[in-house]
Amino acid sequence: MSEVVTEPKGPKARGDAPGRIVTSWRAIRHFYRIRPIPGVDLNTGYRAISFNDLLREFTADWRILATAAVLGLLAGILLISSAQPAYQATLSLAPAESNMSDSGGPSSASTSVLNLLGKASAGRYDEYAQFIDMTHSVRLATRLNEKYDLLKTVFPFDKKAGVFIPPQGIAPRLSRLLRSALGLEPWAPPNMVSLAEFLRGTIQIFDETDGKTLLVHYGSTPAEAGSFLALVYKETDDLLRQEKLTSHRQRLEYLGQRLADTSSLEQRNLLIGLWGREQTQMLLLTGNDPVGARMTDDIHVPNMPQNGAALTLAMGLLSGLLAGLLAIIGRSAYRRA
Amino acid sequence: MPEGAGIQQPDLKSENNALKFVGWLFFTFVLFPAISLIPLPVQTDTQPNALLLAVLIFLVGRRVPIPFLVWTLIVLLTGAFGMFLMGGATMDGIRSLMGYATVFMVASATIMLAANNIRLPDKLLDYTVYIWGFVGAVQLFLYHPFMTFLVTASRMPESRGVSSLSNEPSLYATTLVFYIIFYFMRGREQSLPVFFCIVEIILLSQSALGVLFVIMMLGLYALLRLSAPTAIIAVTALFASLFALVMYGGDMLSGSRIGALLNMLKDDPFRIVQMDESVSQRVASIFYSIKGTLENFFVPRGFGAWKEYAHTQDMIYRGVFNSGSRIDRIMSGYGTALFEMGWMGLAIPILVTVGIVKSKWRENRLRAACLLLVVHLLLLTPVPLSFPLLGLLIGELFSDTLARGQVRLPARAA
Repeated sequence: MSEVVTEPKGPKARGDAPGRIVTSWRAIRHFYRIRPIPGVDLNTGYRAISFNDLLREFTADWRILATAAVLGLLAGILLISSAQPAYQATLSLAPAESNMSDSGGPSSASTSVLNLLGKASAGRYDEYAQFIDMTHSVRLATRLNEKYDLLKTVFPFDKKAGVFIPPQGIAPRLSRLLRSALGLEPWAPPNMVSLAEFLRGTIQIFDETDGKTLLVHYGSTPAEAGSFLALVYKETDDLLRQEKLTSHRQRLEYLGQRLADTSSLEQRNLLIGLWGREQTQMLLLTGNDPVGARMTDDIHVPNMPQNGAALTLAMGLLSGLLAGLLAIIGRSAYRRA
Repeated sequence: MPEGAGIQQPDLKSENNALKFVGWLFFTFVLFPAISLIPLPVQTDTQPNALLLAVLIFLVGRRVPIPFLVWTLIVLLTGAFGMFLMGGATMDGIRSLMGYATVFMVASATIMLAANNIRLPDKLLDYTVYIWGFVGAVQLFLYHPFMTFLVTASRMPESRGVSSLSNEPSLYATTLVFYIIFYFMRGREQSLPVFFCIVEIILLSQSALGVLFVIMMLGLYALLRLSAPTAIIAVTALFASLFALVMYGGDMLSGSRIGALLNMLKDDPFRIVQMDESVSQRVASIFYSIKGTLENFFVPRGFGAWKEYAHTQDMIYRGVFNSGSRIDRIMSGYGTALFEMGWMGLAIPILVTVGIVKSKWRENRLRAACLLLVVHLLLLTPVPLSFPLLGLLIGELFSDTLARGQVRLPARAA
């Protein structure tokens, strides 16, 4: 059996800083010294260990395990304390139940046929999918930026110089360094595509089994989290409405031109019918009915932050313990080498 | 065999017939991973028979020394257990946990058996290949559902090849690629069973992935074995046959999946990832899982994060990959380990690399490099971690280091 003797000795009484460091270092080495393990011969030189011996080593080196667990817990606490509180806002959406249709609305006979084929609600679901896609579209990003100057709020912006600043984290710096090394442009100021990407990342979309969709956004305050989600919903709804109105206006213009050019009574009657249908659609769109998606409930924001403190602590503890296990296995291999 | 290697432990004697029988049974279950003996509440592709026997062997042989590197798998298993508890003990969690347990337990059991001179017998491996081939041939030519009652979740569409005693044709091909690797490790790559394996992959499983591996292995082998001019001729011939296959094979094999894939390759090779759902899912799985690991700086994500992450990525890469169906599970061995377990998941690729380097590098560096390439590429593809052949591969590699005397076992106690 072997034991590395690392008794704390040397300049105990020295009052100077280097002396204290040396003393502390020796004390630490003494605390974590390799101790004899009953029944385990460390001088075999084998690079293998049995399960029973490994368990004994874990027991003998409990100090390493405990230290690693404490360090893991501390790292977890540090993460929790340094993280901003995150409040989770959720918004449940369902397809809007409206009579609007871009195709001008099917006739009753064709609706019956569509019902038989199970495709009557296809248009409604297309609008719904369009709504969900639009929540992270470049068009919505452009609109949000025009109305609320969102680009300068979301991305680092130097107000004095009037320019965007490159992100300062370790990963963005590394990315810039790598791009420069490859001869590529290291960074470019954000544009509407960047804002759309931000929207995609910041609003999580979950499809529920009952056909509903859950939009989730995290904010530093309950008001911020809720208002951002409400803003995105309102603007998406409005954008979709405006786009449909524009489309109907264009159709009306076209129908108007055709009416002016046509003298046949039969064709005029058909065009007037279509004109009326377009007018009805526009009337419905100018109302307050939701387009594409409706909120099944108000935006839900709990009054407690959802930063997963317990989970972070548990992860820290687990990571520490696992690092401790690895350290013991590594040390065990080292002392047998 | 060098001095000190393979000396029996007092509690595990090779003369012990019971242990020999258990070892033989264990290897049989490992070589037939989809055979269902125990009715399970959940349908799984890989059955836990090998795992159960591995646990038994592990408990019996807990005094047998195992190389330190293999013990890093216990860290992975402990981490997976912690993740499982923190994730709320879900069914997906149980499945993943079983995967990590299988890798560790099967590898340990193989080493413990090897320490007692019980290795995977060559004859068992040969007969296994013949049995797989026989069942596959009957399924293809005579009776499609032949022996499928032995497999819980057999998926054999008419347009694809047969799955023999596996769950699906691509898993059948993957199993055979593993067998070829075992033969290569034993220096028996020029034997009849390897020829059967290749024929089975191409004719019976008709798996695109399997065929791709066969072509790659043949190319590498030509470079390895033949002299420079012959190798150049062989590789050129291989490329010429491949080119001919891509140009004319699509029409010849029309109606089958391989035919459709060849036609796609001929028309627009780069669109295959977008057009073919299966290829898309596999490539996207590898890409998303590695991207997710790097994005999270190797911090573990646990067992419940994949679906949401893949869905988000599907929205981003809608034009690149086929987003017709969702990727509900990670279809990559390494991808699964890295995405779910982060830095701990690195244990598997590191272990495989070190195992191959330690056991094969000294014999022949080129062979070792080829083996490294094939095994790493194979483990990037949809090899489930619960696939016992992965554990067997790790166990065999480290058993070889035991046999080489690099890791010596303690002598019998006086």
